[in-house]
Amino acid sequence: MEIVRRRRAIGETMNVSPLARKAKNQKLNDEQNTDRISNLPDAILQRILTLLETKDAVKTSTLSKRWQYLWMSITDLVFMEDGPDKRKKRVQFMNFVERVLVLRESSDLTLFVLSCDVLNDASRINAWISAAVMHKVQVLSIGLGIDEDSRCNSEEPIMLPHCLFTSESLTYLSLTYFNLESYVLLKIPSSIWFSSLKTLKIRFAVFPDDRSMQRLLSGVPVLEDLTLDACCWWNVRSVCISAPMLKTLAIYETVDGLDQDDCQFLIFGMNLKYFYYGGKLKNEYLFYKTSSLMKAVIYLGGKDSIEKDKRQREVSYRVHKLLRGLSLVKKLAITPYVIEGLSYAEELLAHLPVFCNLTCLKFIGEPMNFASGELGNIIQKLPCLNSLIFNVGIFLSPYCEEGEWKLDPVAPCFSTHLKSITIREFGGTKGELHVVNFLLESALILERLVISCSLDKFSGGVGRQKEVHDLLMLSRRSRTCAIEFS
Amino acid sequence: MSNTSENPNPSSSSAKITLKTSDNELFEVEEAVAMKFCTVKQYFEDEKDNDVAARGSSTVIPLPNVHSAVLARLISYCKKLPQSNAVADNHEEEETKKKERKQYGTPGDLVDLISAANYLDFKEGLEFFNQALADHIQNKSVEYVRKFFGIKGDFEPHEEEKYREEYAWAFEGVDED
Repeated sequence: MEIVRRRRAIGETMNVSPLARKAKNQKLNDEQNTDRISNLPDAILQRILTLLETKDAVKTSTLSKRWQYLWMSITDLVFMEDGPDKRKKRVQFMNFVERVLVLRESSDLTLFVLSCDVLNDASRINAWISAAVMHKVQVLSIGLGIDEDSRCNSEEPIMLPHCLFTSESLTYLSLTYFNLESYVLLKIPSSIWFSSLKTLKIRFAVFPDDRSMQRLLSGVPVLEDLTLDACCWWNVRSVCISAPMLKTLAIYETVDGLDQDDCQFLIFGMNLKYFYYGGKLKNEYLFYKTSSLMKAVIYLGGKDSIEKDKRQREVSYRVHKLLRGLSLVKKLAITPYVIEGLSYAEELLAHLPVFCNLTCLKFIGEPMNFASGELGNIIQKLPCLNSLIFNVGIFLSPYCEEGEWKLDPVAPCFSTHLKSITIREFGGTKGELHVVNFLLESALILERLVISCSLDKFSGGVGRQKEVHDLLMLSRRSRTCAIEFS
Repeated sequence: MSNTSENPNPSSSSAKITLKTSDNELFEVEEAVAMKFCTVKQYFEDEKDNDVAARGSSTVIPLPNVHSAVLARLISYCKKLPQSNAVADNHEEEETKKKERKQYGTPGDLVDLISAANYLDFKEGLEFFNQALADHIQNKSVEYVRKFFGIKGDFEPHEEEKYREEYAWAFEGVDED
């Protein structure tokens, strides 16, 4: 019975299908370029309109009467005020957003993206955000440009609507403040409860004090992904991040000269799997109960400014604390400066933890200088290292006598675990070859060496690659090791 | 116009399902590919339940709404799925995906692919082709979209003018055609 019904169901729609017509009249159709898109069902056209930026969706209302009201059922709204003459079009933009919000059918919103300047319109913009929250928006991304004008007029920092902070439907919230001159204080209301929020991203905000930051972090019971990007912490002494479901934490410090941060982050993460950090360690990061961590990235930079401010020892101690907190990770990516930073306080080297789970170490951001003596000491602490990756190349400082140089001491993992070495942006200089030769001589069970050459650094082309390859084959201690060039 | 994109290698061990298109072409498709089409999957499972086709591969599933040229393209898209399905998380990847979508060129082709994907209840494909079609509307002028898809404007000039005034902001700053 079931088959018969289905078979009929499949057959039944045959006659109304534009495809069946197409089979007959294909030639004719191609020549005349007839309007076949308008024959698609409403549900599909509405889905296509939802994929567009809202202005393009609304514009389709003038295509023909068939399209006139289709856009009104869209569930994603995207408003981006941009372009060089956005000030001139300000009134049009404001009217457009308001008209769309009024005319759209009252169905729930899935996504609301708003990027615009605040100017004197804080209350209107807040009304839009409130409207999105009232329509049970799930994904909300707000980027507000705040200039001196908008602040002079209100005297007060921008206050987002209270209903936003108690939304039950929000699963994703991204909040960015744009201001070229200074940072904007994020005002946090007294009651916060995001019962469904899984992802929270805050960029370029100044957190007002310890208590409000703590209030925000206690109001996100199911948060899984937290990004704090270029936020300012100069009003905050200490922050405790302890969301029980948190899986991913990313903290990027401000990059400009505003070096007044000095905040202590206490990170408790029973379920934390990924930790990303970028900055100059202007703040201190301490980890507790983070044995679930799988992968960490530490992008420590700003050497010049650290040296200028004479913060070397502070940075050294902070790197040390950070690494202690990450000692159970499986994969670690760091800038070479992390290793150099450690060397500022030599007394700490002896107390480095053993990374007993670490199988993959990757150097990112800048070329690794093998002349720095600390690398040997670090690798010593990685008994299970299986894969070693140099993402931005390697070099040996010229003052380091190439003939004499070697990695000292050679770590045990070179004879027990290290199976794969990858070097990207290889330049093929004498110093680099010396290092690679040494690695091949020391890694007893190496299975694979992958070298990808940098086009602007590596001279000699494919012919020379072959030559280098053959040369390297001679210095392998592991006879089964494959050397691949790409 | 033929089933060139299907796997010509009959010695492949995976199970095959035969699909019959509106123009009576037969396509022998790997089961894994065919099962991406929920309409086919449902039909196939019903057949199994009713134990009509214990011989499995000999079942022919008729798809009277899908032309062979369209089915061939859908199948070739399916085979590429694993790579193109990764979430684009940076600008470069998004550009690559955009280029990939551009290959499904003419408006008529896209409408056929969307209709067929919709009929076959092939969700990933539908989303992909919808996006490919949306690419031809995003940031384009109304005139361009009308011309590209052959849509005839049927508003009185004053009606259209009214829209353009009311939504003035939306009509500015479009890409060159």
